[in-house]
Amino acid sequence: MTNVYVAGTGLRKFGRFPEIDTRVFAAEVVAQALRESGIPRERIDVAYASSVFGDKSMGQRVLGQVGLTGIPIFNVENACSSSASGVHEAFGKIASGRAEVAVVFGVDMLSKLGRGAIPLSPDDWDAANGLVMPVLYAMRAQRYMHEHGLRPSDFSEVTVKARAHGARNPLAQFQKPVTIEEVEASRMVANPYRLLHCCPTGDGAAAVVLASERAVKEFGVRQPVRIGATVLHSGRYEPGPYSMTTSHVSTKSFREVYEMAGVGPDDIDLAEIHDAFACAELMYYEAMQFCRPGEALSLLRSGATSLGGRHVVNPSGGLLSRGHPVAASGAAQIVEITRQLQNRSGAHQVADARIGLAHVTGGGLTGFEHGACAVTLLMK
Amino acid sequence: MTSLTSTGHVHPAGPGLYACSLCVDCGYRNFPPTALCPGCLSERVRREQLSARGTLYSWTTNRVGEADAFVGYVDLPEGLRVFARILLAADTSQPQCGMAVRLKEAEAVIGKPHFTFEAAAAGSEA
Repeated sequence: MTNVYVAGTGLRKFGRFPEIDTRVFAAEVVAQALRESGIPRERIDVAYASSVFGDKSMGQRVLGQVGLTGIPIFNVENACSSSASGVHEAFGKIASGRAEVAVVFGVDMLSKLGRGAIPLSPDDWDAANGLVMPVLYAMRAQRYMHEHGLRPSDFSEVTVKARAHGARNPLAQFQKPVTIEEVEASRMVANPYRLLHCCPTGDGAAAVVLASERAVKEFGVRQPVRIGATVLHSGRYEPGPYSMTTSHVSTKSFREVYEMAGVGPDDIDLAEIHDAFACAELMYYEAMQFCRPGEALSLLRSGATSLGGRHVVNPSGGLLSRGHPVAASGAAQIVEITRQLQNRSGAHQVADARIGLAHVTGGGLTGFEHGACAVTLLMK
Repeated sequence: MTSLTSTGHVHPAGPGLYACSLCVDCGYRNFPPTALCPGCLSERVRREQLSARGTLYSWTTNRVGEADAFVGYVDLPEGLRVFARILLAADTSQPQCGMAVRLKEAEAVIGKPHFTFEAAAAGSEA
């Protein structure tokens, strides 16, 4: 097994850009990642491309714009975990010696779909019953309140932290801080969630170049960041009662990543996690073992997960503030952690960051707690 | 009595809408019902009417037609969970996790909850 490194990163500001061609939009971040790595295109062995709401064969469409075709291209769909799934596969291919260098990217342009919640499959039972993602996450939040005695306004504190971080990140979709009062004044979406408890829809693209130790040395890659471990799981199909407050698939994935990398929760300096809706962030503090069940709000209020704290969560602003263009999010998180570990993050830099986690889930499917979960651990 | 109606023309569940599948070989119950058992891959599967009484696991609000309505996940004694519209007793303002509910209506209209439950006093007759 060879070590595998992030050798180059590409990320553009998330937002709403419906007038831009998706291929052009994504090609820019792939080119950015390639240039940053300094690795010539003819040495790229394989590519993984993700787009949940874009056209078929997005890999070919985008990579054709950067002269990177003829190699094996895998188009990887795994809901919000899509591009992180691509990273997981690319990591395995390089680690096992079947490739030296891989490109992974994710893109989605949700503005082209109009506004409102992302569409779910009409073949899915719950979706045919009118369920949309805010409704699913709101039921998690109501149950979490029931079990741990929280009030709806407690979730607003998650949004305030996310927006405060995003305000420092020039690539975030939302760059304006908000107050508790502003969150509480936004319109009700699905009780207890108001609009500002929900991640925005938008457009985004992110890319990474992964390389073996040998390739990193051969091309003199500057500041390579090692991938310590990757884990990908699907949720378990369970038509019966399951907990909506303790994510089994996320808990298991974090635990396995810690074991594989030989670290524990106390070693994690920063994490980019799947805060699609405000309560999710609190639930994942518990899944990461940053605190015990029911203690997440206290941990948030202690400042431990804010910039300057001991486990900074979502320094980028997270899905709530950086934005959540579905297939781009996993790769965007990995770009964010990589740049943090390279001490390149400017106003939202986490001091002395050495070990970081990227975590995405995804898939609103009847009978599944989550469709997929990918966790990637990066280290200096 | 439980009122059960089905338009029967829109969803694979079709007639017998408020039903699960039960595997004759291993006893696995699946909802929505399937002809293939996920537990043991048997095709010896039959339909079984679901219990009319359940417990509200969690709830929220969602647009149903022109207005917001309460919706939630109802856990049934069969060990299954169904998404449903929730109607409250006249003297309550919002649902409670863990409250007893009973089926009021089942009707398949795409985009709306197919099942409607109403609050039920714990221990009362369905």
